[in-house]
Amino acid sequence: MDSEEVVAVQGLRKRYGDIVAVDGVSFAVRRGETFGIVGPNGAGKTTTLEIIEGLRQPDEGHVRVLGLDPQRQSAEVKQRIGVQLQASAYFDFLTLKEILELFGSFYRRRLSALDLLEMVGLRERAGSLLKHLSGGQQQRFSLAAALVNDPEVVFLDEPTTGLDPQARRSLWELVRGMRSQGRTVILTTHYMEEAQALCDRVAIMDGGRIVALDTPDALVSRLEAPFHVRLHLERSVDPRALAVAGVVEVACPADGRDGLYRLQVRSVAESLPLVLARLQELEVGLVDLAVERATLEDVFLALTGKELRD
Amino acid sequence: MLLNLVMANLKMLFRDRVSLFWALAFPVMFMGVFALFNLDRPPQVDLAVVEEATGPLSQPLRQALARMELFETKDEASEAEALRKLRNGDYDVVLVLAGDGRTARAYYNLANVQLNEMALSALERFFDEFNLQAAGVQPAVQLQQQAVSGRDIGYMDFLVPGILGMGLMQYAIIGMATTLVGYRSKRILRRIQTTPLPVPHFVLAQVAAFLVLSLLQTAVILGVGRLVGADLPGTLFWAFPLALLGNFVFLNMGIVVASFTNTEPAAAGMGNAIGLPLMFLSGVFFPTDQLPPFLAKVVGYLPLAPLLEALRAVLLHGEPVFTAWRDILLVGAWAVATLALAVRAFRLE
Repeated sequence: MDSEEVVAVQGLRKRYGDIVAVDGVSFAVRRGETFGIVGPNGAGKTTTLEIIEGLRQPDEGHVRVLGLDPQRQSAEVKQRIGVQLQASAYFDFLTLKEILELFGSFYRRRLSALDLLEMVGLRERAGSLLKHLSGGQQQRFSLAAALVNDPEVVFLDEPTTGLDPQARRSLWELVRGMRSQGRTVILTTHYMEEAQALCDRVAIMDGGRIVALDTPDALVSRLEAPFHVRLHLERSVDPRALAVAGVVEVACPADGRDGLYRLQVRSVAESLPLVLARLQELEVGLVDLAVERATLEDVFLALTGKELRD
Repeated sequence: MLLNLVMANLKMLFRDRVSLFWALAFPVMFMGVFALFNLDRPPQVDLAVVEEATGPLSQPLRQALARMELFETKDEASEAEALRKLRNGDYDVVLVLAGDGRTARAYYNLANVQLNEMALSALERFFDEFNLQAAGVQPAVQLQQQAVSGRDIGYMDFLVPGILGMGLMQYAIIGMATTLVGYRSKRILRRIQTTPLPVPHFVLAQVAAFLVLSLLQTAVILGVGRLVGADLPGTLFWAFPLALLGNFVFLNMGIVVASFTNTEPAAAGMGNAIGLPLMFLSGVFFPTDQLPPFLAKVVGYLPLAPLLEALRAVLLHGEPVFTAWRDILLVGAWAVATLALAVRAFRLE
């Protein structure tokens, strides 16, 4: 095994009764990498994470974390990993500082509570109770709590679910900070733009399987139509008229406004001049035009035929 | 590591004012309320005397009534008025001395069985003696009465060890159950599981914190008990190890309750469903020998009754703790059984 692989998962399977939560998952995460597992709710992300953390036993498959077996060498693995659970709370009647000190006391190696709070911008709230913090602050605190033992590998399960955009961006900064400290980060999310913004590599999960695994760029580039051309025309035209060479699909955004079209194209260089020429032929004026790169959202749609958004 | 955790748990218990109220103030309030009632006061019969005419009976009757503490006597002019008040509950007994000087009628309210019995037998005794004297008969046998002074156990003396047992039980079962259910539903137990600290150690530290608090509970309840006038001649010291043992049983029961419920209100409800019947049946407020014999026997094997027996043996009767070995053994057996049950039933999710 490559010594730089801090997490290696082979043929993982886990079922709960009739439901197969994880159905043959394999991947490896390299040291220092931020690795994302993305997919809709119920895709098996959390179960996969909890098996790697040693909280659950797989029905089949092998897991190595830092070269150790998280089941049989769980105490040693737990010394060296940091975990943020999805929707987990802390004690109601301890201050932030007291909670971090208490959790720190469970480990051989620990960071100072005040430094951790400083890191997540909660230093001045050290004496507060958790319930007096906003949702975003609580989530930042739980990141700090995941770092009490100065872990080599950090697991974050849906770290930004339920947060407003501003709080989400502030959390992203913290996750980037972990990466720059040299920690390996494994996170799950069902926000594709989050995976795109944070992750070096992304595994897309659906129905308990990994349907694609690569860097966000490579995943997008592999799409049949990795670019979108958005058109705003003076008047409506027959969408079929816009399907010039290289256009994979023409969509009329369903907001009821006339003259709006989105073309998915293989190559901007190939299709854009043809589109403009066609507009001239049709004698339709152009109000606005934008070219965008496709996103992981489109990758997910292309791979599963499903919209990710809930 | 564990000591840290116990200290943190204690901190949390003390900061949780609501549950601290249930642990300390609630049993203390119970004692205060019972102290107000003054349940040791002898019973009293409110007696109305209606004299239709002054006869030879009048003078001795009044002398006799004045001597008897049982009666609080008032005069009424009319029989009808006296009976009306009897029906209203203003009087317990109405005694009418008829105008012929040869008849006396006693009316009583059927509602007060025990009082009636005492009042009527006292009146009967008076009229018997009066009749014998009037007939000039010398009694053949004279009953001589003499009181032998023993310790007079007041109701508060009896109650305080009961309240102690009740307070320990209620707080341990419900406190432990709601705490654990909260930790489970908020996934704190799962979070602990991600650290090197074994979850059983975490629960053990929680038990230890509750045990420490039970010592404080014991001190407060016994202290306040003395303040409100309970006379506890025994060594208070032995109450503490007994409290720990009993508390351990109830904490285990709390863990079991937590395993069978999913929300804190449900845990509190189930804790009460177990605790309240135990409290009323096990001799907290009145001795279990007032229960139907079969029930008393069953209750005697449940954990609270033997704990109270042992506490009362030590606190009330000043007996050495080892005389209650049978009760202590029984509570100990419960400790082992409930621990096994708690370990089996415990769940993380």
